[in-house]
Order: sequence, then C-alpha cells, then structure tokens
Amino acid sequence: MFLPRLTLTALCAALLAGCAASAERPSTPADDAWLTRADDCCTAGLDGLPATAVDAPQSLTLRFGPKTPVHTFEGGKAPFHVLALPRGQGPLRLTLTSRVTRDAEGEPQVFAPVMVVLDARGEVQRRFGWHDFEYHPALGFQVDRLTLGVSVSPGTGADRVLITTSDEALAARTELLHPARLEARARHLAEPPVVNPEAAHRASGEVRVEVRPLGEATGVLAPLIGDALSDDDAPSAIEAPSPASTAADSAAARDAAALGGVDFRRLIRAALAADDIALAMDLAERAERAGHAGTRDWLAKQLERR
Amino acid sequence: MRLSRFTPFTLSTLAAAVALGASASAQAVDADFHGYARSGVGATAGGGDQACFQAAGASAKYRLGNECETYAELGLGSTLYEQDGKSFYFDSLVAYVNEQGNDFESLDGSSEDGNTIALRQMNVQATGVIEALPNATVWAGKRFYQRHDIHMNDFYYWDVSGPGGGIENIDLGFGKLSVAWMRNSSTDDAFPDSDQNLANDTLDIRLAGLETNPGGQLEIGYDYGAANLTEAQEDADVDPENGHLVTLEHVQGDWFGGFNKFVVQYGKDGAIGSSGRSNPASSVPEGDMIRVIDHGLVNLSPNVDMLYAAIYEDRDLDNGQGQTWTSAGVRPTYYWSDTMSTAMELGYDRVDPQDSGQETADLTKLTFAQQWSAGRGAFARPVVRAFVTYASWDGDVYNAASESIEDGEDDGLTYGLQMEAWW
Repeated sequence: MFLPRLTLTALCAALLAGCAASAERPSTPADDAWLTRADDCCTAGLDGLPATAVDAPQSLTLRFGPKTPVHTFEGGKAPFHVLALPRGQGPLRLTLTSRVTRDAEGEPQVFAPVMVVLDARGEVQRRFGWHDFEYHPALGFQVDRLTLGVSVSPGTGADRVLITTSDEALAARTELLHPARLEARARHLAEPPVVNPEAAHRASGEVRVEVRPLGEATGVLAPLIGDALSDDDAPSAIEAPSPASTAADSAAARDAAALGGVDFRRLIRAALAADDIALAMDLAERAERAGHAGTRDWLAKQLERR
Repeated sequence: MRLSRFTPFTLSTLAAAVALGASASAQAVDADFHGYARSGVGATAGGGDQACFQAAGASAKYRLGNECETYAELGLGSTLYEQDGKSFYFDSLVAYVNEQGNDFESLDGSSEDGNTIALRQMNVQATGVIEALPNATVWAGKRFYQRHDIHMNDFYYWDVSGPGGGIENIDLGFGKLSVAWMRNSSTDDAFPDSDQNLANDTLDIRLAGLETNPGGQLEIGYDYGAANLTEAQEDADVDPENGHLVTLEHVQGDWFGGFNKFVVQYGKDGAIGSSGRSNPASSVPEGDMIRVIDHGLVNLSPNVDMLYAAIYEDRDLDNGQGQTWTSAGVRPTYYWSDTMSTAMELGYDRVDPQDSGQETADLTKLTFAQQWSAGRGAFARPVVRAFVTYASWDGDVYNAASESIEDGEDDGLTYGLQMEAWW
C-alpha cells in the first residue's frame, strides 16, 4: 500500500515541478566588465547629457546596462539617465525604487542609485547618494528594495534629474534583512541572530521612477487639498519655501476659497507623521496666505519637538 | 547600508481618522499593521475533507500540506510617543480560527467546531524611560513574549505568553537580562468549587546574547510557576504543584547561510508541558522532563535551502503516564526562480508511553508542494502552494482530525491548496 501511494505522491510532485520548467532567468549581464569597455557618450559636461522628457503623473522604468549611455562623472564612470522635468504642473514628488534581484547563481544584487538635481545650466543643485536611499525589507509581494522620495519644484533651479551610480556605490553592498528575522518580527518570535545576506551593488539593473504632482503623491491629502497645489502659486523650492511672493499673494484669495474648509494643522500633522517636511512647510505657507496667521510659527514648534 | 529599525506596514492615521470620522484636532499617528494568516482547501483521497496527520501524544505535527484550519492573527501597533530617546509603543493583536468548511463561519466560539476569536495582545512597551537603563524596555499587558518555536512543525517550546509585565533587554555588557511576570489562569477540580480559577503565575528570567563563539550566542532562561491561591483555596488544603523550567539555547547565526538552534530544557512538576507555561493544578502529576532540540535552516546551494528539526523529549511522571517523544523532519526546497519553488517535507514522530503496557505510536508524513511566493527562501511570504501529502501510522493511535480517515486505517493521502502570509 505504501509504495503505490508514494509513487502517486512523487508523480504529482513531478507534474507540479514540470510547471516550473519555464522559470524566469535574470537578464542582467553577469558582471560589470561592460562598463569598463564603454565609451563616454558625452564630453560636453552635465549640461550636454541627453535627457528624456517626462510628464506628471508618469511611471517609467529606467534600465541600466550595456545599452545605456555612459559618462565619466566626478564620482566615476557610470551609466545614466537624465529626465527633463515638466514645467507648469507644480511641485512634483519623485519616487525612485531599485529592487533587489538575483544573479544567475541566485546571489542578491541591486543597482545602487545616485540622484542629482540639475538646474537649467546643468549645475548640480542637490545630490542624493545611495546612502540616502532607504532600505525596505521584503513585504507582501514587494521584494527587498531601495527607495528615495524627493519633492522638487520644476523651474530654473530644478530643470532635470540625473539618475546614475558611482564608484563609491559600486564598492559597497546593501545588507538585507534575513527572512527568518522578518518572520520573527512579524510573528513576535525571539529573533535569531542569523547573519543577514548582502546584495552586491551592480552597474546593471532597473530603477522605477514615479513622477506625481505633489498633492496627488501624498495620497489621502489629495481629495482634501484639491486644486490648491497648482503650479501658479507653488513656491520655487518646496524644501526651502520663500516668503510669500507677489504671485503667491495674488493666489491667496483662491487659496482661501479652495482651502477655507480645510484644517491646515490637521493636514500638517499628517504630513509630519509621513515625514514629509516639505509638504508640511508648503501647507504652512498656504495656510498663512489663506489667512491662518501663526501656522508657520506653530509648525516651527512642531518641528522643534521632533 | 545598515539596517535601521524595521516598521512592518505603515498606515497613515490621517486615513484612519477620516475613516473613523475622528475630530479634526485628532493627533496624527502612524499605525503598524502586522499579522499572520493561513487558509486553503483540501481533500482526502477516497473522499471527504482534508485530514491532518499527527501522532497520538506528540505535541506537534509537521505542517507543510498538513494544516486543516483557517487561522489568522491581525495586529495593529503604533509608536504613540517618541522623544529624547524615550518611546512608548502600543501593540494589539486578535487571533481568529475556524475549521475552514464554509463561506459564512461564525467566530462566536460557542459551537463545538471551535470557531472562535481571541484577544492575544494588548500591551505597551516603553523604551528608554529608565535613565540608568536607556536600552531597556518596561512593558505591561497581554503579549507574545519572546517566543521560541520550530517553524516546520509549529512547535512552541518556550512560550510563556499571556497577560504580564516586566523589563527586558537590560544591557549588562556581556548579555541582556529580561525579567517578566506572566499569568495563565486555569481551573483545579480538587477544590470544593471545581470551576474556580487558579491564578497561575510564571516568573520568567532570561539572559540572552551571551557570546560563546564567533557567530554563536547562548541564552539561559529560568521559569518558575506557582499558583497564587486565595484564602479559600489555602483553607481547602489542596496543594497545587509548583513548576520549574530551565532552558539553555545556543544559536549559531552564521550557519551555512541560515542558523542553527540547539536547545536543552529541563522541566519539573507544574512546568512540564510543551511551552513552559506553568500548570500547577493539583491533578498535574509530579515528575521530570528533559527535552533536547536541534533545528534550523541551511542553504545547500543558491537554489536549495532546507529547514530541519530533531526533538527528543522524555517526560518521566510519578503516575506512570509519561512518555518519550522523538521527532525528526526535513523540508528541502528547490527555487526555480524568486517566485516559484518546489518543497518536500518528510517528518517522523514516535511516542513511547512510559507505561510499557501501552502501544507505541508513530507516524511518517511526506509532502510535496509546488509554491509561488513573494521572494526566495524558506521564510519568504506570502506563499500559495499546491500540495500532496501522504502519511502512514500505527492504526490504533492515530489522532484523527477528520472523519475522512476511518478507524483501523493506517495511511492516508491528502491534497489541496493553501496560502500562508505574515507581514
């Protein structure tokens, strides 16, 4: 009796395993030797790098590999993509995600990005190294990944973003949370001191870029804010809002009408809870213009308490 | 890049506030949604619903393709305060279980099917609130407390969870000390009022993180269990048993890409049991228990890993009703890709009663499963699997979990689909 049943069990397993014959295989190059051989595409400096225009909202996947333009930056020779930011759509939220993949040997690897905001003259305005990307362990159907969320206000001071990597990034590795630790944390078990795996940084890979208008990107705030965050009254830089300008003053009445029923402090608390300081500051500015005097000072106190 | 504190799944409390109609002045906080769930559908060859196979007297069964119920734990937690190195974290969790037979299954707990709901966590953990112990956490409430388990057979060999309180992770320089007072009430039929509660207390002391060798750490634990008697119970001249459990656990963290845990436990009287929770009822026999466990995970190649477990447990009871439980199992898995794998689980359990007049029970179980998971590895979840399970046992002492297996049968074949997730 045992053998027939065992045979049946093995047969079923074999059939099931057969379904796996078409398993996917990684498509990235086996190593980064191609980068050494690649020619510099552009000798005119950052201002001459070819750019791709993006819209908002838009999602795109940037692939890095032998077919990607390569330039020798200050941080080393690296493949790159440049995205020209859309004007006239107000401040944007850019979210970059680089997912951990496996090489042919099953070892983890990841493209460790570097993001640079360039002005209209190609000068570097802001730089986010791979250390600025946040590691997120696998959760649900999302694999281990590096992410960065940045608010930018397209204009002369923020004309394009350059996405690349660097020698420093390629020399480092990203420590991943071992799934056994993840299980222990999720299930409130004693966490085993298992050694976490490390993902090698590669010059090949993919970066997912989400470009969203700031109000939309903040999700639950969008229906509450509505059109209030239009480009006409947007500050030049969300992270460092300037005092209310003439243009902003002219939009104050519309701000007041659009946001008259909104509890700005509640929105600002939510933005702070989401660690979106830029949005909180922007909301404070709008509150002031909408007649809620003292919101800016109140926000300053909230920030001091953090 | 180093790992920072991991937050499972953040929900904007603004969304929650909107959903709950909270006042506009509500303080915004983030909530961590965490939990566990398994569910599916299965059948037994020959007809009937899915049978699950567990040797009579064994404290656990090998679980791959061998779980017949829907079980879930849904939790919400939040850091309610965090400033100047001090934080207060609130955590809660509700568990649900039903027999996975219908669409509309009650969770009222009143029916014989065992479908029920349970509040299993409700606690606050305050870290950094004692100036002299900045890394220590003071906590109180119902809590899953530093649980130790074997995933393969869902065996919790050290789990004194329940309502309680204490302080944990006191940094002594060479290790971390935790002390807790836990409660798990029971009843004792020996009292005149047979249904009155027996307030069972457990004092749990643990010293963890003792570096023993490169990549290896030792944890030492002592649990003392005793009933906190009322005056009436004292006057009834009933003598509940105290219990003692000593645990030594060595964990090797750099173990072929995984880990290995070697555990030795000695229990006495009221602490004899699977988890270490005290049961000092006077009806509990006196005796001793020695348990040795080795379990872990190894990566045999980039595409193959394996869970394994071996258990030896000897309960020597004064009333002669003890037993020796021996168990061993392996679960190698081949990964076709980051999302697809084939797993095999082979498990064996044998229970030898202390009374030589009773029959030895043994059970062998073999499962093949084709799996689709979010990521690669034995602990990657969620997973959806199609499984086929075959089990063979001593016919007279099989723990029937389904009428699909008739008395006198000595083997069974089941198949089905199951999902499992944690987050």
